[in-house]
Amino acid sequence: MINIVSVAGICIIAAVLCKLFSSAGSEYALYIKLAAAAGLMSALILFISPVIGTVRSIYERAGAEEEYLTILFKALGICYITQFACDICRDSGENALAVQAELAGKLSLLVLALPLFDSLSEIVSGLI
Amino acid sequence: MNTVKKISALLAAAFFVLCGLPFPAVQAIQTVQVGQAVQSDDTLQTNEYSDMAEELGIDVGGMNKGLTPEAKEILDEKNLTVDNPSAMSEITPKDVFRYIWEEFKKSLTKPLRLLVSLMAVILVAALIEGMEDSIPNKSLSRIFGVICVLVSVGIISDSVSASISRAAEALDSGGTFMMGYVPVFAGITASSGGVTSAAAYNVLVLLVAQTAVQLSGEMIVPALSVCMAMGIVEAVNPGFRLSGITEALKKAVTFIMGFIMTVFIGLLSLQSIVGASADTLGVKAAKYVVSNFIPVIGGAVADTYATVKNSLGLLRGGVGFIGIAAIFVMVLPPVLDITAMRLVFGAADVAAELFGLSGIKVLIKNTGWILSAVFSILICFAVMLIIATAILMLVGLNIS
Repeated sequence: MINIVSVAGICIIAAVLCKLFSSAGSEYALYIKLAAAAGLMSALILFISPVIGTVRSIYERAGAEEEYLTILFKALGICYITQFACDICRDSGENALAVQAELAGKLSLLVLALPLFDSLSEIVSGLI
Repeated sequence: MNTVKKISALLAAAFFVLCGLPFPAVQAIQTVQVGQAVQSDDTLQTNEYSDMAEELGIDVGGMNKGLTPEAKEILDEKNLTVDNPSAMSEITPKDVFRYIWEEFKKSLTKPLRLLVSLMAVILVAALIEGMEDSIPNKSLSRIFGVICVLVSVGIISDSVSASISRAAEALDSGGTFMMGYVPVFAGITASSGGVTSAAAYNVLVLLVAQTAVQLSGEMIVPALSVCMAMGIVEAVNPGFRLSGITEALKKAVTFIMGFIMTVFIGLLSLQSIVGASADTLGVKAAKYVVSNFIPVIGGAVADTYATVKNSLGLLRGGVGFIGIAAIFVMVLPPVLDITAMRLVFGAADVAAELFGLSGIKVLIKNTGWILSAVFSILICFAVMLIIATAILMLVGLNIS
């Protein structure tokens, strides 16, 4: 179970530190922000792993194709990571990089969904 | 000597009159011994009824040729044959409901698995939808929504296609069965005096059966498959507003089904009721002629005819019951299968609505409509055939 008090504490301390270091040099604030966000994201991934395991086992018991669930979770991960990268880039004033990260995320999602589009076209052509 | 000649001449005359009567039922008198015929129906031996039908030139076994193996197995298990009328009266509503419940439990397995899979997709999709503030990027969440819809399509398409195919097979096998069954049932009804009603039944029900066979293969499956394809396309890309076409098709199917059912049942009821009066008149006239114009044994012959007619009534009841039971057994599994699927889609629809997943909701709504259409067609087909058979069974009772 994720400790929300610890998460909230880390977030507040990181924010205060960022404010303190912003006058000394903006790069330090960025490092602190990056470290705190990465740490929190890792904690969230660790927290969500058993949930994914449970959903996967339910899915297996239902006899459905696990490939679909893998695609879904991968897509979910891509969305979060892309959003994280975009936010960090924007916070540090690098909008061009944020746009590139977003584009990369979209392309990754499309590549991931290609087998699904393939099966969709097969299903629709089979129906027609 | 003269007396012997007179008696011989009268017997010969009676024989020729019996051979010449217009009702095939009377021909059965030639072979069914009077002693056997007058005994109570409960004491009739095995194969007695099918033998009687064979004597009338009706192949009762022919109606079983169109039965599906599953339906045949169930009818054999319950010992539902023409020669065993007592087995039919032993079936209680409890047995029927137990059978329906058992079949429903069997039908639920796959749809419940489907529900679990759909719920997993809905939950993961809801994770993104619920964290809209965490992922404010609309384009990313939109692509993720499309992926969720694509996964849902992959999960449900096989089950829905299987349900449509199963329903089409049931229509096809039901129609094929009726094409073998209708001549047998109509023949027995005609033999027991209901010539006009049997003719109306024969024409109308054969028309429905043949139409069902033709429609199932050539129209229903292709049309519903195209609708499903349109429903999928609309769910994947909401820019394509194809729900108008599917809505129009839904209205057309509902209207056509209602119209056909009304015309079919109305026409058959009217023809049967009017025909029953004509048939009653014919039977009474024949009995009058036999009892008044055949000297000495005329009354006995008329009574014998009445007894044979009653036995044929039991045969008609048995064959009618088997026909209704066969259609019921053949149509019930796909109907229950679709009911279970609709329940599952109803639950998934509520979940999708709850989490605000519009793409999955559209997919579920469109698929649910297709299942509803298949359900309506199956029920309409089964009800038409069951009511038609029941009408003829009832009308036959009134011909005396």
